[in-house]
Amino acid sequence: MSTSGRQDQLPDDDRQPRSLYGVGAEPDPRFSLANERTALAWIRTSLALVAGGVGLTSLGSLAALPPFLDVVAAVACLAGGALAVRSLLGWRSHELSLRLGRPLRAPRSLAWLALLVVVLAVVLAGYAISQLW
Amino acid sequence: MQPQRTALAWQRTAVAGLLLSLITLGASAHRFVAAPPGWHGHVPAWWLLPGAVAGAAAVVAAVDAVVVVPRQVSSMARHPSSDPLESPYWRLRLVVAATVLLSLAGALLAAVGVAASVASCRA
Repeated sequence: MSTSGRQDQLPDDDRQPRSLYGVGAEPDPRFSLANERTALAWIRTSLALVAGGVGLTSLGSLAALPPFLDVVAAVACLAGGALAVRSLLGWRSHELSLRLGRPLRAPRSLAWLALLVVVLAVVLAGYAISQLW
Repeated sequence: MQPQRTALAWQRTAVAGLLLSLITLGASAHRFVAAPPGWHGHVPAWWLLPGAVAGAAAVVAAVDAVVVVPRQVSSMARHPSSDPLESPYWRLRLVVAATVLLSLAGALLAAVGVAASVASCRA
């Protein structure tokens, strides 16, 4: 292993996708595994968003809450799906950066996710407070 | 340690996916059992498909993530240039596809909730 932990490309490498594994050099396995775990953490976050949406619409159905909450639930579900797709693209982008020895891109999705969670929290808190009066 | 930690991350993700599949299955069934006006409590089979398919995908990904651990360990122990890590791409795609399926099912459930509310207001 070289000092940077990167290996030359393998001649009989048939891993998919080729657009990723066909370029650059083999990175340190620890970095690849860490990248995989980061993608999984993003997927779990997207699953949590979908679970929140499904839970909210189920609660709305059980307690006869206003349809406005169903709209919030649909937004949470769709955002979860979009975030899951973004996690796959992020994994690919980071793995490519590792293979090419480039710096990782800034995690822009994190800012969008934080904004979405804050908006959802404010909307739901606003609804809860409105029910007090 | 690294392959085991990664396998555990897969297990956590799979368990989360499996739980969400069960919740979606229950919510889908309840939405029709609660019977919006004119729907008579009948649950179409296709409504249960997203939850079932996503649950199966989570199980497949979890099992494969465990099966691959010994190979990853030996890959890290040997010289990586002769034995690189396997690509997790198909497993990631499977789990992402299951998540997207569940998100669409959840959005559809919410849309049905809105439609049911509108229908009950008109009735």
